[in-house]
Amino acid sequence: MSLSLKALKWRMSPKTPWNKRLVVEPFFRNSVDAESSSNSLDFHLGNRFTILRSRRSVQHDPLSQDPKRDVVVRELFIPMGKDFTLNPGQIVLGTTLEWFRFPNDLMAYVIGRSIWGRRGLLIVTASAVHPGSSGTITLEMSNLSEVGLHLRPGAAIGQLFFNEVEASAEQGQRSSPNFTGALRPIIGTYSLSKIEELLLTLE
Amino acid sequence: MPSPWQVQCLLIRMDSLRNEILRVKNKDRPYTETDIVYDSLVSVIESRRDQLIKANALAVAKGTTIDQPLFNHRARDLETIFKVFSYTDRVDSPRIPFEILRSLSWVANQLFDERCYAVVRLEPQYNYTLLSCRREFERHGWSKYWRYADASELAKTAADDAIRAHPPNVLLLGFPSPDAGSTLVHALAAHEFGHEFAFKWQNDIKAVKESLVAEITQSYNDDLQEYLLGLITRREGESRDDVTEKARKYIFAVIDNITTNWLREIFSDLVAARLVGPAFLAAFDRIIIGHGKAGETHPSAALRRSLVRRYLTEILPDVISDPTWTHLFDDTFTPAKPPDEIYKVIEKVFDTTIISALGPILDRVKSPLIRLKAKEFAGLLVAMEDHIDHLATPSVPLVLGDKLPDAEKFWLLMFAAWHYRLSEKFKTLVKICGDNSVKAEEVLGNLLLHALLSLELRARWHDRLRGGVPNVA
Repeated sequence: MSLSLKALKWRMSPKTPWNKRLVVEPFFRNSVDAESSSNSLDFHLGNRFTILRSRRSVQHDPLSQDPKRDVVVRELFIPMGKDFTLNPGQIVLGTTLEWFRFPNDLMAYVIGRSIWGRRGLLIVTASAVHPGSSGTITLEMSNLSEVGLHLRPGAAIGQLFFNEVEASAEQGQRSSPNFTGALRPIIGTYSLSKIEELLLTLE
Repeated sequence: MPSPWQVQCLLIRMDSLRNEILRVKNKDRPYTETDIVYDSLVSVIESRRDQLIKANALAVAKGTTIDQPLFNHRARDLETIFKVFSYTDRVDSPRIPFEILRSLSWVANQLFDERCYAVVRLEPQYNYTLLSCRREFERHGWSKYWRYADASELAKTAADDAIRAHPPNVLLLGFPSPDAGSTLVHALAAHEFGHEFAFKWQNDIKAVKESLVAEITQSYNDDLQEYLLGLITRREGESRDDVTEKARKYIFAVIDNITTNWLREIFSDLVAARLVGPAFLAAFDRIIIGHGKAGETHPSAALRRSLVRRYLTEILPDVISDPTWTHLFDDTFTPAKPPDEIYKVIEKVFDTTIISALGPILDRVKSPLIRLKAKEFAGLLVAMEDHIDHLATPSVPLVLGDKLPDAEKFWLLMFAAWHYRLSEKFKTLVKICGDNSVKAEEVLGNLLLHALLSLELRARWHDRLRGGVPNVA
């Protein structure tokens, strides 16, 4: 069951102990509208974007330990007040304007807002934000429509639904050190689990 | 006299530079703050080009070519224009943490009480510098060209006639490219802003310089004369009196030059000490690694460290007594060669008199560290560090609209980030980051950068609504 607005406000209070505390910065009071019937927290589009383009071949191996081998990464900074056009079929990594600090007993699901979805914008594919994670949230944005979409930093582009989970002992234990405290959207390197290593080498 | 072909070459170079500036201006960049520099440079080129064309047409009508001095003057102008353009080129690298630019501009506006934009340029050297573009124009006698090319365009974007009447300044911060992503090193902006203050209060600084030069030349005259007489060779036909007089003038010129340079640096160090406290020295060590550029232009790092410590002991005794900072003041660095006698003499005078001489001027720089009471400051520092410790941005405990001006909180955040970096707490962050201290410093930098961005956004939001929008639910 997702957390109610009342519970969310308690989580964000400076009096709440750190093992339960959610921090959102910058936080605009309107993001948690007391009149709203939804149990979600709106977040806004940040200024950093990473565009992926093919380099040597038209194919890309996500399991490659060097993601830049096949894909050219271009970083963009779009200031407040300016916009960025996401072309049809294009995928771009963006971030939230807000920095989130999750306690170890809280996770969230990133959900797009219908007003954007109806225009063909998909904002996320990996929608779970793990307990204990910290930083801006990377958005995998794609334009499924037939026309270019203007994206403006500061736009309320999505929302978070929070769920309580059984707490782990230490802060940061459940989040990957690679993504801890991230500010820029990064493509990241795939790290194979032992099971994957085994499965992928089977013939 | 230049040949017609040489005149043509100069005109073509002018056109080429003009086109290149416009090309850079039209490039896709995050911030267009440097447009005013490009527009103004284009205006200067066009005026020089028109003058050259008119002079050339006149000369051709007379059956000759233009005067050599005029030609040389225009050729020199072109080189200067190119030099100024080269400062503002390459300000769009995606490696620059653009998030900090608005915060730096915000802080500069508050400090200097004038509208200015801060722009960062990656430098190939390990150096952190600041250049005031408008002053550079004034220095070259181009003040009247400092303006936007298209005032109607400006009206659309700025919606402020005052900006058209008084175009903003552009402060160009040169940042060492190997540290491009380091937010913490930006604490050195406090020192560079000190140079701007030194220029603003140049008459007061000049008075201090004159009294210092007088003291140095009077108190140590005999020692210095003896030292310099050894350096000056007596030419045939020159009397001992002539040589002594020559040495006296030489001593005065050398002392005057060194004192002027050192005074500017030390004044800026002390401004930085007022704004960010000992955090300035921590960032300073990152750039200079021990020795600094001791010599004619810069005093030794040991003298600078000692003066900063003494000044901080005077103005912020509670901050300086914190053991976290202690090791920043240990200077065991041995220079490659012993300093010249003249530097030793000037150092002695600076060491004994400079803080009291500059004190009243420095008091004009508003500092958040001094403005807050020791207890309030300590409480705020604990709260900010507590947030960093829990991977939350340290701007959260900074309440907007309290007695501290919002822009001054920039320095509090810089102070807290460096304090955390040097304290034992940093080890916790290293552990969270998989025992990787480089990654931990990057995360600390990200927290600081996001805190600066958030603080500035919240303040703008707060101003817009004219009411308190706290950052807590």
